[in-house]
Amino acid sequence: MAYINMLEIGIQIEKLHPIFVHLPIGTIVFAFLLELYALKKPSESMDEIGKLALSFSLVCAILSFASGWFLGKSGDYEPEMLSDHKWMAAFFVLANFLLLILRIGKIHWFKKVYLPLFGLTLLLVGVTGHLGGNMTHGTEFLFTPVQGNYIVITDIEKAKVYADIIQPIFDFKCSSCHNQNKKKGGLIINSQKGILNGGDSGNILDSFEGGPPQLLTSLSLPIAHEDHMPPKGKIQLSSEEITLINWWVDQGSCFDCFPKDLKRSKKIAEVLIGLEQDTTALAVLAGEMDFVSADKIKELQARGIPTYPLAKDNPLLSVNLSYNKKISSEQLNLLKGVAENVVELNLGYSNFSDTLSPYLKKFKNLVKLQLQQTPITDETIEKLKKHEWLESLNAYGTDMSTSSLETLKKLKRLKVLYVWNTQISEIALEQLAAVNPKLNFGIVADSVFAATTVEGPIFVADNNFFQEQLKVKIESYFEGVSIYYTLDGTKPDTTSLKYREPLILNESTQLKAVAHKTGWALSEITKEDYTHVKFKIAEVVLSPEPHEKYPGKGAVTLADLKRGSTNFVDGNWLGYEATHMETVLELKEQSEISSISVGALSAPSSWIFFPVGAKVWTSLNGVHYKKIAESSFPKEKPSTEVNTDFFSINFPKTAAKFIKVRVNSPLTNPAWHPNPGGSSWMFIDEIIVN
Amino acid sequence: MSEKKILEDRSLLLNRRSFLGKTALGIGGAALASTLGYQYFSKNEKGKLITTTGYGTKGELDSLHFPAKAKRVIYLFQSGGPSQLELFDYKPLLNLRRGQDLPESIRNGQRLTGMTSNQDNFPMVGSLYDFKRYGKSGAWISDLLPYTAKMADDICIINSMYTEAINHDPAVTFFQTGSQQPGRPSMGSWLSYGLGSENDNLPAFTVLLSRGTGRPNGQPLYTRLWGNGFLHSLHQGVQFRAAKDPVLYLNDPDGLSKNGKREMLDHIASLNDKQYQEFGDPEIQSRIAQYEMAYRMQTSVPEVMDISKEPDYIYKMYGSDARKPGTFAANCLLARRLAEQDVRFIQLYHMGWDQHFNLPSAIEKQAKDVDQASAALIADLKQRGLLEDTLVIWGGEFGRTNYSQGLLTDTNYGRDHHPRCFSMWMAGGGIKPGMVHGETDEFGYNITKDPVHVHDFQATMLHLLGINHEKLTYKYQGRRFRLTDVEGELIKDILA
Repeated sequence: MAYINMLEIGIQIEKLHPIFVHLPIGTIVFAFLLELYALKKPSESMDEIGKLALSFSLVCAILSFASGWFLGKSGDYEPEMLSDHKWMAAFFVLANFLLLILRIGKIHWFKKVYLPLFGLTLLLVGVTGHLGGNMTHGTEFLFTPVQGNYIVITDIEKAKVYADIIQPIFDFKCSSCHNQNKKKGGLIINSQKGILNGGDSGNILDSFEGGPPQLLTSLSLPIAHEDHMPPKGKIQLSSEEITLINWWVDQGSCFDCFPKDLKRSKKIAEVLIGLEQDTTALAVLAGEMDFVSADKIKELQARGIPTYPLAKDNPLLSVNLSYNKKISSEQLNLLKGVAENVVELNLGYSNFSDTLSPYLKKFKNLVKLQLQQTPITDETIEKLKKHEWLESLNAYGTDMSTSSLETLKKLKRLKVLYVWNTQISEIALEQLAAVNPKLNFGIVADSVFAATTVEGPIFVADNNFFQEQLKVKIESYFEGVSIYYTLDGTKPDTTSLKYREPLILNESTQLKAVAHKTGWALSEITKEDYTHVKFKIAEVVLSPEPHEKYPGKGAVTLADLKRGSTNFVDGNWLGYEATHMETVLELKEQSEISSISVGALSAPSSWIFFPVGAKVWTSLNGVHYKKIAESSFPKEKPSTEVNTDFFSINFPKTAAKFIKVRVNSPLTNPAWHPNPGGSSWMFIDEIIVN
Repeated sequence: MSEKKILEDRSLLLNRRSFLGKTALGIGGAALASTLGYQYFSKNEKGKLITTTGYGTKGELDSLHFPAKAKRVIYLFQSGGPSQLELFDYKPLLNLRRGQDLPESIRNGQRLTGMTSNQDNFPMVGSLYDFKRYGKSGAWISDLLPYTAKMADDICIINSMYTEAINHDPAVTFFQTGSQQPGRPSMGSWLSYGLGSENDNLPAFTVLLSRGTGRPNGQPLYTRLWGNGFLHSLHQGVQFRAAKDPVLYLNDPDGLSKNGKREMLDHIASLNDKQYQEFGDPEIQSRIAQYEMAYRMQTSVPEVMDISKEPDYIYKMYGSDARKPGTFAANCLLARRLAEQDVRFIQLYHMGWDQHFNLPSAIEKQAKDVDQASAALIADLKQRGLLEDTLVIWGGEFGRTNYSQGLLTDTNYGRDHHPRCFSMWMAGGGIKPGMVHGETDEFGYNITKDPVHVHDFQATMLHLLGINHEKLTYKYQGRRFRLTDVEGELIKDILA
């Protein structure tokens, strides 16, 4: 084990050079300061410390020299610079050694030579360090802030792919380590020759061992990978830059081509366009305008004119006076001095009008102007004919009309003109579009929302059950809606009965209605059952009792003629978990009955399902019961919805005072449920006897 | 930065106060305000000078990092995880291989939720609803979204979103705050903090909730999703409810006159001021500002919430659901009204997309809830010229699996949570319209092109608002926090 560790250290020693080199520099400077101090206040201990500092410096200098020796052998460095660095370092070690000898020996001419030699030593360490730094960071590191040439591309078609697009990327991101002085991996990447020569492992542009070229591989490896370039910690290439280099290499790494000579995908074309100098209005104006002082902006804000710089270090301003109903000429005068800097002016929903419009002339650099929902007319628009930068003009909801056409035609840069709810004619817009084909009017075709249906009618009634009669009102949210209804369960349409006044129901009815509004699609059908209840129930007995969590209002819940809502904890529901329900209903007086209806809830996500069947017994005295009907209900379909429904059992007319009803629960969740077989619930709100 | 700023602001405030003392109110309030910058002072109805802090209008950033493409955001959050496979990510292979087990080479050890981890097999299932191509880009959009499809040329669909979380709470929290653990500020709070408000009468960050019909009893949401985290409480989202009192505790108790209220607020403010001078706790200023904001909101909120005067043709766009308060459609209409008033961040949540079983019937209803209103919002903003500087975002916290959860039948199936890929769309405010970004494999399980992480999405949103996501930070407990944590790359391809 120890042997292996030694070996590893042996290999790594050259990598320690960057750490060692700083130690002798610091120590020798410190030793010099000690020496100066000792001159003023000589003492025995100062003498000892001085010796110690010089010795430590010497040891570090030797270690640096040794590690540097190995590092130099890697061949990554320009030989001439390396040689200078090496010799300077050697002189420094020697000078340091001499200093120590002088210090220890205290030869009689010690004082005369010692300090000058110390000065020379400091000079040597400085030169050595500087040369080393040049090799590591490049010779221009110290004096030029950014490397490479920034090339302004005004027309991408005239740019040379290699010289103007690819080489600048290498210059900015790669050449600090791959230059003539510091050839990392043997590669020089700041010239065509260097790139063609490749690095230690050969050509970087051709396919490497059957895979992609090394240049592309090292750029595409994950950043944590040892061979990823640029190494972790250095400035990385952007995805566009990687795309461009890939494109250039894939297309044969041509050194004299123009973009048109190479095949361009849509994406490449987009990236290339992105390299062009920004000629958008905002970019050009930002370059031309002077800055407005921060105090001036604060003052405007304080005077109720919300003014904001577009961005940091950007002289352009955005002013937002929207919803301001008190815009005055005084206020606009305040903006005079900065008007040319204002590129965005929002006057929407304000009181801005034709009388104030002459002020617009001062804002000659407007790129975006919002005048929507203001009392302006063509007179205001006319003031804009010299606004050559205007790209977006919002005039929706104003009285702008076709008379503005000539002015609008002059706005060559206009990209969007919002004309919704204005007086301008279709023909005028067509003429405008002919002059300026890229102009957009922000219009959405009516056809998009042609199929919208009216909201279905709303029924208003006290209850769904009634004993004498029931008044039902039908309403609609919208104006100008006609309502058509049926009482017999048939589908209503515009030929059905037209609703004029509240309906009075005397018997059980299924009411259906639709709403109609001109220009809209017919509403969906609204449907509701209104049930006539003949017999009053005097008393209800339950067995078993419902689950303690859902007792409703007790047994009487079943006969209170109040429907439960889709919320099972609303107090109108009796809940049963994995058990059937049995109840005995006592009628007020003995009657002829022929049907029983059970109101139930289904909410599968809450494990609540409709009953699966029911049995009915009747009795005249409450002691002897006779079974008169049994029925199973339709199987519930898979659903996630919450529903309520009535389940009826009909039978031949039977005289009864007491009625026993057993409602069967499915007991367990059905197979389609996410928890099949789990204990299910049954919720009952009402039992109606007829 | 922020502590320093607070101290600076405080010293400014104190200077103003001493100045005020010396001049003994000799100058009119308006003139004073004008020389002193932000509205630290304003006059009440009776002409009495009152102090309000500038926090309500001024953001942490002195200026934007670059010109903003979007001035405000409407985020139509689809809570529960909408199935991308039924809406935007068309995968005919899943229909061909219906019922076959998902190959392990595709799932590749992806973790499952507790809801399907005990399932014996993972039968693949394609959409029961057909897809067609729409718009100039030929984007595939489901028949479930006929209106959205008509607006295909205005939206940018991203089919390669992915997240790290697999359950609702952490996933929604991740989207909103950039962290799966609760406690960080929500997106809207970051914007309120960074940019302040352009409207003095409405909060910079408003929240509107609606319940879907697809799964009406789905997961509830919690107020911390629009919480301010460690930022000033001034920046928390204000929920506008669909009820008589849209903002809780805003209205005065019966019998309190407007003047009485004003005097009460003035007295409270002076007491709070005293406390502030003694302790300098900026939270006291927040409190004063909130009282003032609430007072102004007593008029501004009922105004903006009253949609009864919107013309019928607007309802024809949004659908007649928009008449019913509390529906998604009504909230979309409100969102437009708030956007017109320059509210910075308008967050809608539509619940009910968590369709683990009975997905086909549930998603049909759910899609109907949102389709027309979402499209109408785009159209409405477009006509008014608002779309060009309003960023509209539509999407949930994760996607759904390509295999069925529970029993697969001819007409029925379910889908579990799937974080590895899902779809969103964005429109307006600097987004390239009419395009589809990113692709998934033919199984709709893994991303094959242009993956977009939640932090990338957040970074892009901030970029469009003119903010460098790495530079909007807040120092708390010794660390600088940001919305994108330590990640986030701009999605350059979708920028206009």
